[in-house]
Amino acid sequence: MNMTIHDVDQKYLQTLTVLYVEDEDTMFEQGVRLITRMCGTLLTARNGVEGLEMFRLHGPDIILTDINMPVLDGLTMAETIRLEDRAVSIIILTGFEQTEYLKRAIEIGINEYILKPAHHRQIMEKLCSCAHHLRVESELRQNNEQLRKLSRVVEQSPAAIVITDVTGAIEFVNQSFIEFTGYDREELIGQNPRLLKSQNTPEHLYRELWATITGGRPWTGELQNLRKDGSFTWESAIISPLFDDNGVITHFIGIKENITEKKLLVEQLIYSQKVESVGQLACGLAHDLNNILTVINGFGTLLQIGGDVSPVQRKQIKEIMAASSQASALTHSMLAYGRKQIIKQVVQSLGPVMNRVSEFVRRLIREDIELVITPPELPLLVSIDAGQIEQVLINLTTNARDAMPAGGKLTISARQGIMTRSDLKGCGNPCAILSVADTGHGMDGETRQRIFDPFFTTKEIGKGSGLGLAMVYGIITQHGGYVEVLSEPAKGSVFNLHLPLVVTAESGGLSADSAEDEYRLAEGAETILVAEDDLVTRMLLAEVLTTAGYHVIPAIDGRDACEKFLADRERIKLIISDVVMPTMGGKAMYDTIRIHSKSVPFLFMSGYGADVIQQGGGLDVDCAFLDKPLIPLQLLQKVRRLITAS
Amino acid sequence: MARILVIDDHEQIRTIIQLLLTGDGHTVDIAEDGRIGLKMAREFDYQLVITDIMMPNQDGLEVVSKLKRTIPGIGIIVITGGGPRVDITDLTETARLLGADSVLMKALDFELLRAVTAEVLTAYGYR
Repeated sequence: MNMTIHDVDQKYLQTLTVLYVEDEDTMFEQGVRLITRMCGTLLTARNGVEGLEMFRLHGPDIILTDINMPVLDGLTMAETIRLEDRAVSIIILTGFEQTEYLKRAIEIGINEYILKPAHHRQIMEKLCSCAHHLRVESELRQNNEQLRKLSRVVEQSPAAIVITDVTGAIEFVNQSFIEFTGYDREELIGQNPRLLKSQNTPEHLYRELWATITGGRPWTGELQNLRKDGSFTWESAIISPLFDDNGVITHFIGIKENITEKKLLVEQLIYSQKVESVGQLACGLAHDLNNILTVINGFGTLLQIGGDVSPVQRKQIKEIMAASSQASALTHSMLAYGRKQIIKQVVQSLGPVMNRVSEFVRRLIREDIELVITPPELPLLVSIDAGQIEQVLINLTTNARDAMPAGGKLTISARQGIMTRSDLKGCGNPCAILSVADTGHGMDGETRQRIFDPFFTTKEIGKGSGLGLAMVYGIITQHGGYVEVLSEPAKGSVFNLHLPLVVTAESGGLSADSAEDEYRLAEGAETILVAEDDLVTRMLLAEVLTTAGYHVIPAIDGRDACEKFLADRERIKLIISDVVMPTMGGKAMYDTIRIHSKSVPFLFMSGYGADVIQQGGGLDVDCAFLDKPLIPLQLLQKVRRLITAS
Repeated sequence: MARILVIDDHEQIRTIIQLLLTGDGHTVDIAEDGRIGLKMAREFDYQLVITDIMMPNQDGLEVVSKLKRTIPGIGIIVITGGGPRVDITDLTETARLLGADSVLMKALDFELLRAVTAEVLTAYGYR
């Protein structure tokens, strides 16, 4: 019975530790000589007790032992060892006369036996055989470990992973996939992924996908999916075929990233940029139109005053003036739309604002519309420009009225809620929900998506400017809130205006109930260095700050500011500076002054917004920013805060 | 009757105001931008200046600011129709802050302009 010895097993044996237990001297010496050459480490013992001790001390991989030995025989030793370690390989050396032991040896779990007298070749074979088993077992263990790790990774991956057979039937989904789609594992297994198809993805895209992957190539792209609960999600997907060793496709693997939030953010960014640019366009247009209308009004007035006109002509002139006046109202709504700043944001309760506007709202609607105004049960404190919020309510009321030509019910109510839009700073915070609901004709999805677009209107030409809801959107966004629209054709519309709540304990000094109080709180007597190259802005700053009690040192650019700071550094408590100035800009001035003073606070003004400057110019984080154009109250409040904080 | 300067880069508008207020008995000069207007205001003795804001060379806010500093007893009415890239409320608030006695929105209501003109002149004791 000649076994083949494989190189790979022989090599593996050279990494292993072998314990050799033998009491007979000649055998022992021969064995040691042979085994030393073959294994990595050789341990030896001369009886069972020693063997046991060596085993416990060094944990060999293979034990080669004689049976008949003094003190403790080999089988009893092997039996003890086997109880302690199931993995170690045990080989026994046994003579013909001892074959009765073999039965017991098998019971104990001996791996191999060698009949005495043992040839070298036999010992080598048996050792290699044990090495072979150990190697296979170790590889298997490693593979299992690897497999376990990989399946953990797949299961816990943040990417949604799905595996289908060649027909597209789902065989495996990971936890992310389950969360992403909203279906249970049981509901998905065996199904085709077309279960998730949304109607909004064009059919040819799916066809193209299928053609690509059945053609053996991976497909990448974005897909819109339908969740079990009916909501839509966006995924960025890589779908690739899996081949067997013969190059035949056996499975398809889809790895998908949920990009719904990302998509939403991009859409909102594009939208706000659109709103912004249209706002600027509207302002520019309004400016030119106002001049033209002024001319029409002007000559009309001159004609009226002139007296050389007949009564009929006078009436006609009056019509011209009336039309001009209508056009003028339109240009003013365009200007109002282009407004960016909130001038008088004051902390106040929402209820009184609703009550104040109720009379106006009542006059706007017709008698066939029932009006219900439900102020909040508890006072809801919000920081708002009441005039603007009234404007919002008026715009929404007008729309609700026009949506109910045959009468209906208009409900304006307020309650407390939670901000749920994750892209907003206050997400998760409590908010006031000001709600305007009508029982009118409602909107379909397409209309609902476009209602905030400037100049979008469903009304007849001449009846709506298309700016009403765009204004609502702009105003609520400026207040740090958002508008939620719930509407379906024939089921009415609900506009939920989410406005961040002011927490009373924190509002402290801010909860002043009039703009004058706010001004008073922002006053001071410190000295402020103002660096601004534009004369008008510099004068405006000086005017505002001086009126509030501050002492102002003006500087015309960065270099001038540095010189003036060094001359008066003890008194200067704040530096207000433009970012872009000739000779020396804001950043260079900041760096220079920081060498001399680590503590004086800076307030930078910019027409570009703080983000752009911080991204582009890299000003340090310890600077405050203020957007241009400057709003006096905002400026004073910021100045006060900075000086107090330092 | 008063001596009035009208500053507006829109030719027809300054002409109309000139015609209208001349009709009311005032002496009315016109200027086509802020720089020319300020130069004239230093040379002649005006009781009232009516100025637009968005103009080439020197804008109306600068005109208001400079006039109020150099000629404290002068009345100022600002007329504005807003403009691209500016907030109309900012413009009007700033004009008031710098010392304008009244701010009127374009498209101008000329009856209102006549009334405000009379009001401002009275306030400064010119009639």
